[in-house]
Amino acid sequence: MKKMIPYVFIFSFLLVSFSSAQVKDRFSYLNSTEVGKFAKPLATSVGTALNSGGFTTAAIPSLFGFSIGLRGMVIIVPDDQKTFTPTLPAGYTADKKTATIYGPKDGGAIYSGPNGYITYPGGIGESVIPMIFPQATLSLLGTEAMIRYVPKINIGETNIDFFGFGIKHNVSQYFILLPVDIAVQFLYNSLSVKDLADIKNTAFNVEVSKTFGIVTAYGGLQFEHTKLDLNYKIKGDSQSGDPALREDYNITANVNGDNKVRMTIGGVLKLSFLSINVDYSVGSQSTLVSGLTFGI
Amino acid sequence: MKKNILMTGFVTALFSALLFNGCITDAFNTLIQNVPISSKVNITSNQSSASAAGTINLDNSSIYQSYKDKIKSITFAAGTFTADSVYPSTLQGDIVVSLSNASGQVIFSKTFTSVKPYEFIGDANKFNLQLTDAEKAVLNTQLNAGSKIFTGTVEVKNLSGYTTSYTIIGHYDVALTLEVNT
Repeated sequence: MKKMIPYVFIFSFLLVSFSSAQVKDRFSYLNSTEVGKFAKPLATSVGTALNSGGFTTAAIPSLFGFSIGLRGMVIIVPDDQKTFTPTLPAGYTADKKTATIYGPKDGGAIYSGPNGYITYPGGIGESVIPMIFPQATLSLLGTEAMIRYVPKINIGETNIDFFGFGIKHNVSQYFILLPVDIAVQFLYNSLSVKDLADIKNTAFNVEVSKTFGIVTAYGGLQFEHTKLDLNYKIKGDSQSGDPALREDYNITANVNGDNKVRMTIGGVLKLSFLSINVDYSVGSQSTLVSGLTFGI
Repeated sequence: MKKNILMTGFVTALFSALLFNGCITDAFNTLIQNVPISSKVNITSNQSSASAAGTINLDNSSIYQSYKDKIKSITFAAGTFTADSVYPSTLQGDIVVSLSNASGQVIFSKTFTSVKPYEFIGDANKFNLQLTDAEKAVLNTQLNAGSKIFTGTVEVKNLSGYTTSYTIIGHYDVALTLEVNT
């Protein structure tokens, strides 16, 4: 099992890295304003994923504890995040919406105007986005530190960096008669794809849990923020109706995800040193998380 | 036993996630991108009938150039003809707007009888090339067979309202939809 973990993670990132050039293809004909709208659901889903799975209980060992595990999840993209209304140059009317990155493959719109057609790319036509990553925790005296880390992976022309940490403190330990465990947690995650994107996520949550034998029910309210920095090159098209898209030039675009707040509810089944959990979060994009953890 | 159940459940979830990841990668493997192409037309004459043609060439599109070796299909999406300037404004006659392939085969043609070219000036007055399904099928077949050059022609007939000469300047805009492997 432990030997499998790095291979699972590398495999997952292999799949992601094959898509980075393909993602650039979609950005290359969008200016910085439009790419922000096109890519916002991507920022939201990656941020939602990286801010997920941070807790399965508010209880922290009062002396010492550790765990290592995997978190797998699927993020559900709602229909209203599959299209957007573009901002067009003077003389053009956005009389229809066009696809975001998750929109229909044939959802790229065409707008007619005084300088010719302005065209938009289609999306990938997906509503359910998966992700998986490992994490480890170390706890001492009611405070838990969490680490998510993968060494830089070089794959072809791309390399990927992933790092995350969290700090959690059990506050219910100060209230002896409290029937539930309560903790507060701060999370930070960073994912970088060379020459394409840097994604930084922060989150703060309040968690509650209650244990019934081998089952623990947990829930939480989390506030989070995701910032996606994109670096790509516009492929100038002399035929474009948008004068801003007729020349090659490099673009840096900053996109904030729509993931601001979520509510989570879940349960974990703990058997000796192994536990498996499932939880569901309601937010800008809902998320179903499952994890396997080894630890005390 | 319980640990086996846990492991089985996790491995199932893990492979499901990896399968999903495979589906996501597949989704990125094709891209549908729309390609705009324009062509100018300029008629200057002193005759009551004249014509001019503009070449619509896919090779003029950098988007087409980027993907030309990865194309799965090309289809006609939309087209317009817009007059940019007309002199004199009193010009009146018959106008024929047509689209032909490189061999001269007419794919689409529309005749406007006894109109003023001046009334086609501007984006608000542009003429939409409304191809029938049969016309689209012919054009799409030729596009997917490798035809990259088409001709947009403007022909004027029975013109009046000018004294010595006249000028009609306009342009065709065409949008094609490419489905490409990425």
